[in-house]
Amino acid sequence: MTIEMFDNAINGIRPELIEEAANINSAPVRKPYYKYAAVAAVFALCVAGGALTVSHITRTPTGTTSETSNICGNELYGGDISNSVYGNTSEAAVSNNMPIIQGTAYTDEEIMSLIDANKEIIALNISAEYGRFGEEVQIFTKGYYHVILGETNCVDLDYLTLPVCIDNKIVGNIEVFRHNGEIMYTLNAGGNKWDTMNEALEYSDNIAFVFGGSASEVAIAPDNTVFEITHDAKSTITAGYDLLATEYNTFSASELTDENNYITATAKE
Amino acid sequence: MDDTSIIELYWNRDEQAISETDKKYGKLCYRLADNILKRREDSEECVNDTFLKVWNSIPDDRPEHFSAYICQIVKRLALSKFRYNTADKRHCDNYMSYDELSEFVSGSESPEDVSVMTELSNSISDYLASESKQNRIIFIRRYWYYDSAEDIAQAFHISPNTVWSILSRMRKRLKKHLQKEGYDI
Repeated sequence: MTIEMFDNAINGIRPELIEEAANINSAPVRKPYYKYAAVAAVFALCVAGGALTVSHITRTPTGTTSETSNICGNELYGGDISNSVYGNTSEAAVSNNMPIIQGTAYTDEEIMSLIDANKEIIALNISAEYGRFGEEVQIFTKGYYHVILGETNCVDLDYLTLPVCIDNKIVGNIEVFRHNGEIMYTLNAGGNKWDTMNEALEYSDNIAFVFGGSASEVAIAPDNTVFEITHDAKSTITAGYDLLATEYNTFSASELTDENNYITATAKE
Repeated sequence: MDDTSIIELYWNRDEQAISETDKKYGKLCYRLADNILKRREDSEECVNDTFLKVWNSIPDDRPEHFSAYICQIVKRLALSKFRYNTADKRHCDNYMSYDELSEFVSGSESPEDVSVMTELSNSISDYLASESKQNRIIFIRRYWYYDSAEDIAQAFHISPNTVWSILSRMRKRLKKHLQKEGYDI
């Protein structure tokens, strides 16, 4: 199929969908975001669901992106989290299969290059968000890939989350993703979710992170205690850590204190 | 004025129908035309042609989804004008800079008759209906209305990178959906 064919097919989507999108303001929106004129015009700050998201357009060409066969990405991913598997229930309606891997993992060089090129601006935004100028911001080069729950549990290696810490406590993260052969990232900070992440890592050294929706993330301890990062709630699921923890999506508290795992930068006011 | 009343004006051959259409959908039409044509004069002309076309089409039509009806006409006229304007240039079909879709499709030609394309459109519609409203609108604003990620981000109060991220994930899910339906993409 060519792009033109696909474009024609999209042109033919049902009119009610076109009409729904005609009034873009009818869509549910997040809270207003506030733009800062800090340092450069290449980033914007936005408040999203109580958390500050710093979006950055810096990118590093990879030249190695490949479109892999896609087996995950089900209704839960990006769907309504109220119907997702965790909520406050004790049941996990996920597949009983181990996650299947898709995507292309980032090389250490790619991540180092990305962080190194952007550490100052990341530190500046983190410091500005918390009013903690002059403190060392630890930007991790190791993190966890996205495991997505659903009919087919999946590890998506195109999406990587890297913690950002001050004083070895998580205060934000960087979501790395591929776009048109380039590596891009979004910096998230602010809100309460970091407290939940830190709480999870204090609860157990090994934590598995999984996603049930585009804005829904949970941390699962080996005893299946679930920390709902986006909802500040805790519950226990029956199918959890053993099924969903892989080498790609687990992270431990001890990694937060390993100097080899992060790059530091300090911003001055 | 609601759409039904505007359509009624058309049926009554009341010229107020055009001014009401312009008032309600003029900006949307212009934005869509300009996303394709990128020239103010051409876009304005396209919108005017659209209003004339709507005037001549209603009656006999009584569109159920009036905004979609108008936008389809704008888009058709704008694409036609764009192809005319760029007929002597190379890569004239790259009006959308669809790098992201070039990763999505194989690029190989295959005989696709009208019925197959209609089925494919329906399948894409089914997929979009299964997505959240925000995701669905973001996708359609990007790939139907050709809005930039920056414009979409502004409308939703999210960052452009978040838009790219959502679109990237949706393309993967759509590809899976279409492959499941038997399409060779």
